[in-house]
Amino acid sequence: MINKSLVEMVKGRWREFKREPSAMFFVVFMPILWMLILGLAFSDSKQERYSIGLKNGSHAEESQVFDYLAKQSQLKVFEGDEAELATKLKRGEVLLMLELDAKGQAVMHFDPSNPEAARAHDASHHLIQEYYGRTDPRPTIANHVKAVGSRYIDFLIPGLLALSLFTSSLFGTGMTIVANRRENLLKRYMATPMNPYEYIVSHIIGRYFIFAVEFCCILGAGMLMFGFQVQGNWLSLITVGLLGTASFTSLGILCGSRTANTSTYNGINNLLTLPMMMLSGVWFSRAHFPDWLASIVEFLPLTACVDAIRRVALEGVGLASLGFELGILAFYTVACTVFAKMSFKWY
Amino acid sequence: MRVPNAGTVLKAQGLVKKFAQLLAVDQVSLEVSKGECFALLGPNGAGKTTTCEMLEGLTSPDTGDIEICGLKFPKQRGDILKLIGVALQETNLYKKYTVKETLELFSSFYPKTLSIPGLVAKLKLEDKLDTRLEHLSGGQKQRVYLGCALVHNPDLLFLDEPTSGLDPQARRYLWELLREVKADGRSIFLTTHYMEEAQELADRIAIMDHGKIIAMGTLQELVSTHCQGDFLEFQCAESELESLQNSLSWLKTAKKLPTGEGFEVNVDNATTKTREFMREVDALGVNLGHFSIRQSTLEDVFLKLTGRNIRDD
Repeated sequence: MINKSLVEMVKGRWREFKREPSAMFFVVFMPILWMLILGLAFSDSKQERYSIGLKNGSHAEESQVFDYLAKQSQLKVFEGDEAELATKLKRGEVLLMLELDAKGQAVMHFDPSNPEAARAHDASHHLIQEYYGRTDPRPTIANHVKAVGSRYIDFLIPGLLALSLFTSSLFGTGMTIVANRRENLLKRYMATPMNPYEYIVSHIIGRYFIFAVEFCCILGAGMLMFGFQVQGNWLSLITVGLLGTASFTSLGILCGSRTANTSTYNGINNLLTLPMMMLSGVWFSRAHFPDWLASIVEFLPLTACVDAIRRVALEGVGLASLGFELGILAFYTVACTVFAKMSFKWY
Repeated sequence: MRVPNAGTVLKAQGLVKKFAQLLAVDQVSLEVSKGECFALLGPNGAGKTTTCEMLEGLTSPDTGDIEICGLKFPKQRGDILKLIGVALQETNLYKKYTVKETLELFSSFYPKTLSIPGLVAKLKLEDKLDTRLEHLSGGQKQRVYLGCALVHNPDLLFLDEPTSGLDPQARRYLWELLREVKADGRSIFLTTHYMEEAQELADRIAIMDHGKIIAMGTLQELVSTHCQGDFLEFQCAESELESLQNSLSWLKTAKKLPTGEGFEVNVDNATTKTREFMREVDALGVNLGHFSIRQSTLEDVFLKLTGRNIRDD
């Protein structure tokens, strides 16, 4: 199986990657850049501050209550009449509108499906109780913990690694094949005794070298800059990464199996990449999705890869309990390879 | 059926290829002998590339037989591909590879290959060995491409429009290389739409038009069969030509030159005809701007056979 033409072609794949500055940029620097931007943006653990509107009315206690609320660091208050505050509420400039009714009861108008507005409501509620002298029957103590492995950046880094493997494999493999077809190179290969499947295999093996670069750079950067730690077994992590790369590469080969037009390929690529990038839980947890969507998204290859990497890296889970995720990745690898073989056009 | 002689490296018989409505290749038969350079000449769209790709095993003919060094497609395809070298039209190799890396890649496809330094010397690319293809000129790239086709020392070389898009100097340089390749005893099958290229390189030429071979033979054979004699070219006023034609009836076939300046006439005996022509010119006091005699060329043959110029679309 290993013969000199395959070796030459794998060397070629590596050369193409190494000598193409934009490939290097997308594979290595983009994820690190994301890590830096998002890591710094969300690492600041300042207390949340809510903007609320205070509606001017006629109740006698109003000014004292409003003054008390305005002094709280948790709140940013705007006083105004109803019309003014209604506009602000619509624009999202305030999360809720508070008024004291004729009986002196605080009434809060807000959208309960907006989690931040709900939190603003809770905070305002507590402060008003406090103002009127509430004493808690059983006070609780908040002990603030900042555990490595539970920060946003810890959640993000495995996602970025999976995303980088996904985009670079899909784009790198498919695009090269499409460009080679357009430039008549695939046809030229067919006029040599080279076994055409070596060309495809060279793309898969070549991807593994690039995987090694991505894996080391992204995790290395995470460890150095944010103290990221892998809880699970490194070998398991590498296995998950390799299987993910295999499934993304075969998907790339499938997408590039017929067309000779790079714009068409770009279209197909975006059609696949953009939704998956949003839906697969790279940036935020899929727990926020409605159930029906979450259950579809589970079957996407990027989701499986993101989840598996996260579970190994953050929860220290072993391969044995990743049957579903690994199964999905294996399924895509096999299915895409079979379809690619069926539809592949050399020229 | 005639058995091809031992010296035949390529034999194609009755090739037909249809694409949807278009009959791209229509009953093409040809043979190439060992050490021969055979040129398929024709305008763009004549079916040359399709013919070439059928011979290379890249396209299968609808009907017809192809035999290369006694082997047949598709059964012995693998063996045939080891014996032939191919340079397709308009192929881009990896521009980030150096000359050496490119040749090494193509070498790796074959069991037996030439040494790369020797090949590079032959291609006159010694000083470009470690240069990436993106930094080479068109002519140099074309030589690398030729090198990829020669790397396994093939018996038969297929070149589809090898100098298309090159400047005249680079073209002449490549011709020189191809003459050396031929001198090594290799056979060459060449397609071109440059008359000059066919004339310079080919031992035998087939003229192809609308999917058919309309004439085949050596340059001399083609010229003597289809366009005998020489051409007299001269420049004078149209009214003067008319008076000359009144006394010399063979001048009636004179045609305006494509450039518009002057006329030309095909004659069988140039010496006698020149003497007659000059006598009349003197007698009538024609103001002759220019006069020359030229031999018939492939271009004249093509014009005669197809009624148009090869470069007309």
